[in-house]
Amino acid sequence: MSGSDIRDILQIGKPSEPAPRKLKQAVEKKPEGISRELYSLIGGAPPIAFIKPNYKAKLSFQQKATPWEFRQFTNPARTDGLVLRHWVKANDDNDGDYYFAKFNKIINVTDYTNEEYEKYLNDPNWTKEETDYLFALCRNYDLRFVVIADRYEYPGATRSMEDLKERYYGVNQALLRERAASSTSTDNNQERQTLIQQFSFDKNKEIERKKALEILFNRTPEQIEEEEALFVEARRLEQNDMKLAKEREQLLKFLQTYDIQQTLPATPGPPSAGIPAQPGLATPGGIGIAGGSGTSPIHDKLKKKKSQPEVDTKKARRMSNASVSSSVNEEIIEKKEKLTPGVYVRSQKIPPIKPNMIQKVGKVMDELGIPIRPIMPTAQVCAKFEQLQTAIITLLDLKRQVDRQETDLKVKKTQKSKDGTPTPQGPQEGIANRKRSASNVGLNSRDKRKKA
Amino acid sequence: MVTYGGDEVNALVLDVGSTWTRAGYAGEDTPKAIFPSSYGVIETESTEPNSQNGHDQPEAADPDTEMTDARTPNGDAAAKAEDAATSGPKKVRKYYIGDGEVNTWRQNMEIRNPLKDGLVEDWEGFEEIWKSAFHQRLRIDPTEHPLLCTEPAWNPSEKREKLVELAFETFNFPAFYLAKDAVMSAFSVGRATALVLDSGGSTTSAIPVYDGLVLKRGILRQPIGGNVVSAQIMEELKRSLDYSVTPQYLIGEKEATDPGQPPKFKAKDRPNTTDSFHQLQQERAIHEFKETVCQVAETPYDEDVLAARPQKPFEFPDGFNNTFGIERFRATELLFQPRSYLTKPGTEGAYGATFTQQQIDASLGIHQLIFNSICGCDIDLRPLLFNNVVVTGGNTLFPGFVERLNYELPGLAPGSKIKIHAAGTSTDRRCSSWLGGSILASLGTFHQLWISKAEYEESGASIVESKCF
Ligand SMILES: Nc1ncnc2c1ncn2[C@@H]1O[C@H](COP(=O)(O)OP(=O)(O)O)[C@@H](O)[C@H]1O
Ligand SMILES: [Mg+2]
Repeated sequence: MSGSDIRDILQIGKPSEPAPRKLKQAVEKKPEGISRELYSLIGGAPPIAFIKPNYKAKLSFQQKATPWEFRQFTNPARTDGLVLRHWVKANDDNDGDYYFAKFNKIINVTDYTNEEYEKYLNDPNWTKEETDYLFALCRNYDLRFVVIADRYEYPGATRSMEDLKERYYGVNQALLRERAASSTSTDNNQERQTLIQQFSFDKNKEIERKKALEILFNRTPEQIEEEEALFVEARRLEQNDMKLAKEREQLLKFLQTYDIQQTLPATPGPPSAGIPAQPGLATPGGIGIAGGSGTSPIHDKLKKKKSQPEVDTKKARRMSNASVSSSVNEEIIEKKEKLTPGVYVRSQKIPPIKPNMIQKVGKVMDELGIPIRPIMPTAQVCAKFEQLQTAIITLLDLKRQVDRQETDLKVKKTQKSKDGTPTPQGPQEGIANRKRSASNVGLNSRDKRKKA
Repeated sequence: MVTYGGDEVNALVLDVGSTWTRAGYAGEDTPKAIFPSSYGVIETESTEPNSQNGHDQPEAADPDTEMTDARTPNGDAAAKAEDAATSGPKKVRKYYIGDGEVNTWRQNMEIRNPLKDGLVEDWEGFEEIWKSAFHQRLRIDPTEHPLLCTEPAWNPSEKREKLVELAFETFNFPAFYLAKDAVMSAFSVGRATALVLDSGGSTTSAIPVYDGLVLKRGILRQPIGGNVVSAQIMEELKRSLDYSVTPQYLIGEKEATDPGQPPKFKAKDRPNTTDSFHQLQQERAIHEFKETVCQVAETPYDEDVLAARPQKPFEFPDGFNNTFGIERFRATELLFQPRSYLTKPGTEGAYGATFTQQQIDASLGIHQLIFNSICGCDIDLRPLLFNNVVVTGGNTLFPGFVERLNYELPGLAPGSKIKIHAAGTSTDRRCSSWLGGSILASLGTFHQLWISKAEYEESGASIVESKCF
């Protein structure tokens, strides 16, 4: 497509000049030291269209320079008509207001009449003259109370900033209230009320607050250090607590999962009293681990058979965790119902292993002599395979837990032996536990191999 | 123009400090003229009739000024014959103003400083400084320019009113404003709220500024500044090296000597030299020594540690030279520990630093001064002030000064966040109050604040109290 075609499409007329730039580009020389092929690949300079032309603005001599004038001006913010002079552009015909006059913001400080003062504003602590003086200062210093208190010099009176604020806000509040009462219109009553609220000033609270700040300010370095140390300690304790709680929870969850996995299939129909009845709750292995998966009845049956002997011992523990596990089950049911859309091979449905576990699981599988993916992924094999995976993961998890418990125990033991008290026989339990799970895995895997 | 809020009305800014006077145009970043506030004066019995130049026609007096033989070649012309109205018709005073003039030796030339404790004491000399600034240096017509002048925060109302009179009556400025130098220093570093520590030649002050207004109850000051440091250095040199500096104007020929050896030079014959001139020249030599060699210890003063620091050589105008080690630090320590390092009264050979024991006991280290000043302010304000400590004045230019302050202040106020702002360049720090004035007087929103001549004529000089606060 040539340029004229594009112009036709866009309905633009012919360019007035034949593009000279193009010609130039064609002439563009290849820089030395680069082979022709490479240069044509790089394509020379990038297309001009993408670079914003960076021309220097040409000094225009045709245009007449705008002259500047030294002009007089008065400032409407002044009352004395002081005439100052400044430079402005001659074409700037802003003869009207002085630009900066609009920044002359005046804060409105309430005014009161003698009558009003007599009626509403009398205060045993304040004379009218002093109140007037205060209000004059307020006007003069735009309500900057820091400055007002600093410059306050009324003969025979020493006033703190709080005294001054109390008086100022008190007068304002009283005036607002009385004026609201005397005015006939009631429509902006609400507004007035909020205004009155805004002018409330609690002197004692303010003094109290400043005292507290003062105490804070006057802390010695030791106190600050101590405070900081305490703070850090508190944070540390808090975090420790959190960590402990988390670990405990993890452990509980894990034990539950393990229990359910081991026992649930063994309870036909509605399980024990502790678990609310859930129709179709034939939850197979893999609870809480690597997501739910499709299960076959065979799988269930198999599992039932294998875990039967342990049901009794586990039952008690499971019951205690019943409420939690039931909620876990609910989750899993939901997950199970999810169907992958589209076509897929069965082995795809085998739940993936958590990435941090892949290697470890792989190692165990290797030991067992099972490939990492089933060779013949029939439904049965897949189910078994999945079961195996889950079991291995459980095993590894348990192993880790046991290890940790053991080291914990060891530490406690050495501590205790230092104290001179003998330790209870903790480790055996752990070992027994591990053995049990190991044998479990062994069983499963043996099973699996048979099927495969 | 509008974007930065500036609007130039050709205002002038004048800052008369105890050491330097700075004058220039508002909106510029450095003063056009910087010259010593001290001036030379020669009083003579007059018989000439033509020396009756009036005060009201200062410009006419200019071409008539006698050319003195001692005039410096750079045309630093400030000498001026003026009839002293107060001291009888027979006395004629000739003023010598400017760096070149003051430091040129003349018979019977007295050196005076119109300021004392930062306040104007000698109005006649002060007027001469103004004249010199406006007529000889800036060369402007006062009726065409508004003038912004700085004043110390503790300037009493009578002196303020007198300044207003000077501006309107004597010089005919169309508009005038008196700004507190501490506020101007705060403005110069872009702050409206700050604690301004200004250590100049004669005074060190800590002044809380809130929203562009000085909080008078927090003002703390003491007469310990650069001059005291110099005086103590002079004493120290006398005491430890038995050396007293001979200023340049007395030196004819000199020979190179080994370090620490007494200087060998031929003295010039300078009859009728006044004591004040000699003292000024001595001080000048010491100032130079101080400004090139001395330093403040960055951490608490510890002779053993500081003695290990590298030594610095220095040669005085008379050829005496030495390397200085611990002396470099000891001299400035009085700024932070005046009670221990100020010369005790009655010490033999004490030069300028004549403090009574009572004064010494009442003196405070600079960090303490800042701290006490802030503590005199409302508790709500203190964090703001601690976070905006502005350090200014020539005397703060010692290397290590800001570091030391940064070390000492947190020790006094352990729970507060402290930030010290000090202009980087030495001119900025020496001229900060002028610079703030220059900024202020070029703002469009400021022009409503000028005291105009009309207002002055209507209300009198007391108008300054209601317009400049
Ligand atoms: N680089 C410097 N190091 C130490 N002191 C200095 C330095 N420059 C100036 N000074 C001292 O600072 C003082 C003048 O400070 P300055 O702020 O100009 O005073 P003022 O505002 O009173 O005129 C003098 O005593 C001078 O010796
Ligand atoms: Mg100063």
